[in-house]
Amino acid sequence: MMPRARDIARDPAIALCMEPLRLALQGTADRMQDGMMRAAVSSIARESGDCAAALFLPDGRLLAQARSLPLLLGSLIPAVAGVLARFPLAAMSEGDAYLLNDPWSGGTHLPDLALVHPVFHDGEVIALAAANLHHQDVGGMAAGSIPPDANEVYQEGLRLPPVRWRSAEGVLPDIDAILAANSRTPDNLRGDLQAQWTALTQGARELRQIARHTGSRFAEVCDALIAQTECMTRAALAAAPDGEWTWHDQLDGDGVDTAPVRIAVRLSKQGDALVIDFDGTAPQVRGPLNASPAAMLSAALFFMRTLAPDAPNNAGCLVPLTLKLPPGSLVNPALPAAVNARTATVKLACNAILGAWSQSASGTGVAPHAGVATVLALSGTRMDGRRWMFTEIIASGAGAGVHAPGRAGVSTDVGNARNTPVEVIEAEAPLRVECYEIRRGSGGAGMQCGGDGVRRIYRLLEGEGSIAYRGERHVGRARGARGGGAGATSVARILRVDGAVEILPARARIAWSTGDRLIIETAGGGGWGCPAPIASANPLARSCP
Amino acid sequence: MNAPWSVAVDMGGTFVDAVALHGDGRIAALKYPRAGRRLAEPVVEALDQLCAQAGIVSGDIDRVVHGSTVITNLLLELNEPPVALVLTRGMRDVPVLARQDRKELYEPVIMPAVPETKLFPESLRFEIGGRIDAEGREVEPLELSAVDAIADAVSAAGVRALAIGLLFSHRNPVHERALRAALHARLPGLYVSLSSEVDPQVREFERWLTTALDAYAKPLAADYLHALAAALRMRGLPMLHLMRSAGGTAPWRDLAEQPIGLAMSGPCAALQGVAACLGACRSGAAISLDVGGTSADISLLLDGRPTFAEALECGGLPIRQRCADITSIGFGGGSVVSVLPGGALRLGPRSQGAWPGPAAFGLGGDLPTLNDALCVLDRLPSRLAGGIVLDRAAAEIALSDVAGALGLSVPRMAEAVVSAAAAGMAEALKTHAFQRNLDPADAVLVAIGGGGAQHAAEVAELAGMRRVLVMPHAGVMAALGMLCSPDEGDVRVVANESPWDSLPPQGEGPHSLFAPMTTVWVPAGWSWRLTPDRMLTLEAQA
Repeated sequence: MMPRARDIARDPAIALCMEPLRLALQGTADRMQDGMMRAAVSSIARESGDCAAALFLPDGRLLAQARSLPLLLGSLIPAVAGVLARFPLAAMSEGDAYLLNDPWSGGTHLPDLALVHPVFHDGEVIALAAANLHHQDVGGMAAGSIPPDANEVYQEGLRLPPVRWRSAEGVLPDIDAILAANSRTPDNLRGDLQAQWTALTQGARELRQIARHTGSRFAEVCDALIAQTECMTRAALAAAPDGEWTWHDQLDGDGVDTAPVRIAVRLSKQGDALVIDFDGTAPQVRGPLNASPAAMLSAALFFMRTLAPDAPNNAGCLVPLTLKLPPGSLVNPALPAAVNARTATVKLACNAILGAWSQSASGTGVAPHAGVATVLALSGTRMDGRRWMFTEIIASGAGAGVHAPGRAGVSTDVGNARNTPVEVIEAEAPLRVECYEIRRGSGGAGMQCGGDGVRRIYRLLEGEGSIAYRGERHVGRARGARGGGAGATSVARILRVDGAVEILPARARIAWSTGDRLIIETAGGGGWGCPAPIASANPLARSCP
Repeated sequence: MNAPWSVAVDMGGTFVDAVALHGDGRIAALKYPRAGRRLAEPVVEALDQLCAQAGIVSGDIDRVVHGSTVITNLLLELNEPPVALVLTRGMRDVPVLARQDRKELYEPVIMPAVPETKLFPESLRFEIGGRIDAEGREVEPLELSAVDAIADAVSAAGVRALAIGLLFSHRNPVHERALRAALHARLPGLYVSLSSEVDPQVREFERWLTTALDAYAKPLAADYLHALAAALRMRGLPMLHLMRSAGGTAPWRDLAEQPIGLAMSGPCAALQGVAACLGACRSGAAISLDVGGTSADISLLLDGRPTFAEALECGGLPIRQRCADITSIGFGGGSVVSVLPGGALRLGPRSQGAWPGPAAFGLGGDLPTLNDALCVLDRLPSRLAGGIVLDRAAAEIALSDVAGALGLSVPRMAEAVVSAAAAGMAEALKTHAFQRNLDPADAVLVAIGGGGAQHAAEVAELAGMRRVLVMPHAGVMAALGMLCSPDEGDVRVVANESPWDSLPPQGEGPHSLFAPMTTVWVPAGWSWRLTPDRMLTLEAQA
């Protein structure tokens, strides 16, 4: 039965306020995000948008989040819980802000600093404004604080359990001194924290205005919006048949060793509730691909949001969910696991959930995306001695759905990075981009074909250079759903000027010189449904080109 | 002596608005139903009728300016035949791969960024060798030997228009020009757009897509503008000028050559009109709210001048062209009200537009819309400009289903719908202002369009604004604005006949004010007064 509004808001006065408040909260969260990106110092936040903003109720429930990066949005929920566990509401004062990045207190990896600010109205905390941002450097064994060869968190940078960063008088000098002393780029760190603070004050100011307008019923209307999302999510779950579905996938290695690392998930759906259990996933690994529970919540939140994408974007979608992350595993590692490269793990875990759900006959599923965001960092020296470097993210293929093929070369699941235009690359580096095209035929076959990956070819025009390549799915593939075929694996190779070919592994650092070509082909997404033989009379069935 | 009258015709979705402005400040205006036709005839008819009504003969007319939604609608509907592209070797998929990000984060199946099959299917995307480098130097000659095969394929496919996009052509257009010459030598009737001419700036995806859309619009724009210009010539009228998205006017042939420059012609004209009519209120920041049948447009004026942006979006496609800086959201009088499972009220994005229109219009629409909610709340007059008589009973019936789903009475439901509309417009307004470093509380709100003054005070209240100005010619602001472009000198419009004559000069809300072509809602806690410059001012009481 279709749930009705009167089940959520029995009082018409509340029903009347819900849509205006939903729009106002969404607008406020988006403007917090805009403000943060405009004020940010480092390009990773300003240009690439590697930051996120959200609003919470005083009890820690998510009230609204900006339409930004899902990888970071979900992680703000445990961060706020971590702050509340250390600083109860009664201990908070107007003008306070609290900081954390500790993966064992609600953080993800150390460069992501979460900042939380209580919003006071008429002497009471009515909400918490929160923002996180990927900072350029928080210390540790390598510049950038994402060392690929780390095997414990102590090598990755400064670890901050929840601490007070600011009071009404301003930033606390002691904590500021510690932060500055532990970063290779202290000015950037300070500037980007101020950008986060800008977002929080913008959010707080607007929220006070909204609360004034909504009047004494503000808290009740917020509750009704969360109940509405819960109701819409439960309705979507209830519409699918009950059952249990499993999926497994693998990482090509842990960043240190090259043995495949297993990710396993079981979805159990009963009525309008869902359990997602990662039991069977590999134990925590030596390399930095471990994902903290806060990081994993982003994968789960992403999936729960896809069930009712039209619902208000608040904590209600998590109420029907029980998330189980086995302690000591890749997805809930014990101290002192290294965690800086958790993105690859979160992306494949997210796609494993999508894969399991695709078996459920819910009719709403999608085959797993290739789920690879290849990170390519190229650098070198020109003949005249000038140094150059740039980094880009290359997307792979999306999974097919029951009614539509997968899109080629697109950011999927918890990521949403843009590509780097050929004209920007060639203006900054002595490279010729010879090709940027769809890698036809790389998506999985099916009634609907998986999205193709892409091919990019770079030729080094002068001097010597070095390639830092971080890919995924060189061995594992994005499997298809309901009989659909798997996407092709990623392939990266160097074509030397003398004709020799060198195949790169999933993670590589390698030198190249004038005239050499680097060819990167990203993985395809999974297909949907059994591919029929080419001679089939069914016009809907086709094998993929 | 110059002929005394200037005439402007604005073609919108529902009406063609025609305005004549005399050198002494007199104005004649009319709204003419477009009746579904989209090309030149309704424009010419509206012009003929205005001249007949106002007693203007062709010899009295010094200038004819036209603004049009033809190109905007073409880009929204994408019903024209696809075009061919010729791109640098290795790059034929760039316009399809777009920037690799996605718009809807949580939709399970990811939709294409660009409607490839409608615009430029794979079989019509060709590649050609040759390279210009980042400094604009030729590093590989253009592969002219490939042109014959491309021309054969283009001609076999029956394509009328083609776009050329070569890397770094914004630094050095020599290859693009040579390619056009070679193609024209084979296919003289082919419409060709060059990326180095349409949008000579770095970043190939945006430049090439903009160029492809320009080519896509060209055959229709050329047919339409030639027909219109010929009809005006027959009447002995001066040469047709067109209102550009970037402000100002240009001879029609320039825009037939590059029709993408018309994408926001009408909304830009409306802003110019506001700028000319602000009068004594010019100083400081003003935000315009233009509410029509399908959308609400929001824009900022600083010290009486419209603001401009370097890109726009039309139908979800990024177009990189200088353009009036307007945020457009899908909230208008025809926006459909729906209730999602879970009892969530939503307004839009679906719109009944002008046809079949709101249920209250009695034109066949039976879905509940924003205008139906206004009708139920007695905020609309029984008879609208253009002659539509409202059917209140039909509006109540249309709203009763959604009201039932929310457990509300019909009037309460109507209130919920109107508050949601105000909230949506207020959020878009706040975002537009804050992104441009302006707190809306420091600006005055200017209401234009058929519905702007209906929602303005409620929107202002939510955005923390205290004052709303309703323009006297709010209903034909775009047509009027075409006669006020900066290249006309500093035009100030003086209203000779006030449309507010029938209204009490001041009072307090809640109150509806019905004037010709404009309906105004003054909510509780707000007052209105007519100012000596014939502006209607709404103010929040302390």
